[in-house]
Amino acid sequence: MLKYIAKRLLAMIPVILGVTLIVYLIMSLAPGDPARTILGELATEEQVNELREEMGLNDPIIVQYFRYIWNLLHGDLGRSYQSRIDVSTEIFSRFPNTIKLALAASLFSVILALPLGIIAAVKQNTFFDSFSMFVAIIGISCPTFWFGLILILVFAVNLKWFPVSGQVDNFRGMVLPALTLAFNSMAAMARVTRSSMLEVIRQDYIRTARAKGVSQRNVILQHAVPNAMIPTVTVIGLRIGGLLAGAVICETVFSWPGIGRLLVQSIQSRNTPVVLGCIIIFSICFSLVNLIVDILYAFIDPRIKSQYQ
Amino acid sequence: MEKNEFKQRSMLAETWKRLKKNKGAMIGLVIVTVLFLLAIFAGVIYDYDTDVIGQNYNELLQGPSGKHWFGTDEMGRDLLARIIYGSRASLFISFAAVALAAVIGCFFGAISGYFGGKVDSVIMRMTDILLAIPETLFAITLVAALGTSTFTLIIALAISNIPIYCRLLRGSVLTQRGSEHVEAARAIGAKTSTIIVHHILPNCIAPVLVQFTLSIAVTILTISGLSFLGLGVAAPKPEWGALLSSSRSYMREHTYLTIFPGLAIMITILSLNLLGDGLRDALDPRLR
Repeated sequence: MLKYIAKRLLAMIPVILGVTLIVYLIMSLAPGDPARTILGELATEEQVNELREEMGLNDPIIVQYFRYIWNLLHGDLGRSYQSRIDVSTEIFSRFPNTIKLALAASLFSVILALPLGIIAAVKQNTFFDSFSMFVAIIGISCPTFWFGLILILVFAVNLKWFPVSGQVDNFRGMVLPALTLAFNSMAAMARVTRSSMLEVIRQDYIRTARAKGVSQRNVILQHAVPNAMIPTVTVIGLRIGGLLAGAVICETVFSWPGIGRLLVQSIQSRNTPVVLGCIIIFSICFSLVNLIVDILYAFIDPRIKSQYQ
Repeated sequence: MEKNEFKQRSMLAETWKRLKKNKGAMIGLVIVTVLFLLAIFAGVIYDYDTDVIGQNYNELLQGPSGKHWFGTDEMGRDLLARIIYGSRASLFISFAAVALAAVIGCFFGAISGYFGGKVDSVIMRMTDILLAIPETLFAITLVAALGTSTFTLIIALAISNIPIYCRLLRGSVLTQRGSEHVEAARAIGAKTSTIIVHHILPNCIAPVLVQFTLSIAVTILTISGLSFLGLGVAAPKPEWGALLSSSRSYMREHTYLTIFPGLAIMITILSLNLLGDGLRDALDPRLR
């Protein structure tokens, strides 16, 4: 198992380097001279040149990239153009909020999706089945931000059960943002859980379990569900990218003080170092979470585990 | 081998026959067709300059009525007209981007699957890297660097869709490569390009078609999300996500401004998903 984790970790390094390189190159296409932006229109040509030299902007782009990565490894992401605060300070003060939102959303979607998918499969072709699959296809088709706006309209403006904008430090303020972010992945997970459950409960070993008199409850929970989880875990992995992208939108809808909102605000104020930092942190998170899902996958599926023993 | 005693039908006719039996897919197909026709003939129903971007201060923020079915917005513009014109942006950008991605992705996927070896590893590592950046995030990066424009959006969305098609086609080509009909073609001295284009690709169309439908749906969602953030289609041009974004200030008193554009997005995506699911079942009956 350790060998597998080590192998996956090593394979991730070139991917992260590639991702950061692409993002860095694209962001370097942004028009405007950073030194000029910092010093303002009134600065002389000499002052600008001096700052360019100091910031290393005259070096080849690839040198600048490796310097950026080197600094990144030391926790330094450069400084914000406007506030001159360290980008890393700015990002990591908001990072826990985004993590909180993403975790709450993942929790919501798993708690809602698994029972929905499992019961729909066990009670195939009943009203419950059609109803939950209807909810699921709506969930896949519904834009995150619209669902958020509708939740705000119904539960915050009309019923006044929850606050209109998200609040990081209390549960009530987290419900609507987390539900909004969860809806899409919940729907996808419920659909996959249902179809893989349907496949599993037709297997011979389920018939055997029934034949030896195992109760329906135990057949489902102990024999069918663990086997049906493998595709579901894959979907959780595939949905993480969507969850991160969704976080950018969801944080904007609910004014949630996370990295997503920081990213959007920084784009609007053309604060390139912060934009770059946010996107790079997002991409690294995405790769890391994918790695965790892969390891989890190996953990659930003994066939993968056995290859590395 | 199974003997086919029935009249030989083309794959297309066979698929169509199965698709017709799927109620959801047919509803999806009808709605998608209607949307397309509306987008194409929007100019016949409404005049862009007067109805869509022209401001009318006598009819600000009116609720749905016989004259304005979906009501009017904060500048007195008919919401239905703006939604119909908005479909143009969503459909055009998503089709252009996904089509571009499918062509480029299939090209590299076919090469990767057919030749294998070093070419294959290089292409696969590239797709790994591209897959590690979520679609929306990649589009945001490109838009942040180059500014908002239809062209930037198409390029960004196309690039992030390439790896999906690349992988898809590589897989299909790998299974086709060793098959007898390809071997036969090689034996009679067909050129590599002929083998790939005439003997392998036609057998890979089905999964690409299904993925195409589903990618369009996802891409429309991404575009509307970007416009909602102010990073997609710029005002006063109507786009569904942008309509929702501007409705936020009037959401409390004028609910319809928020509800209708969202419904338009949802119904479009829903139809495309139903159609895509139906196509997948019709093209590969084993999956049912």
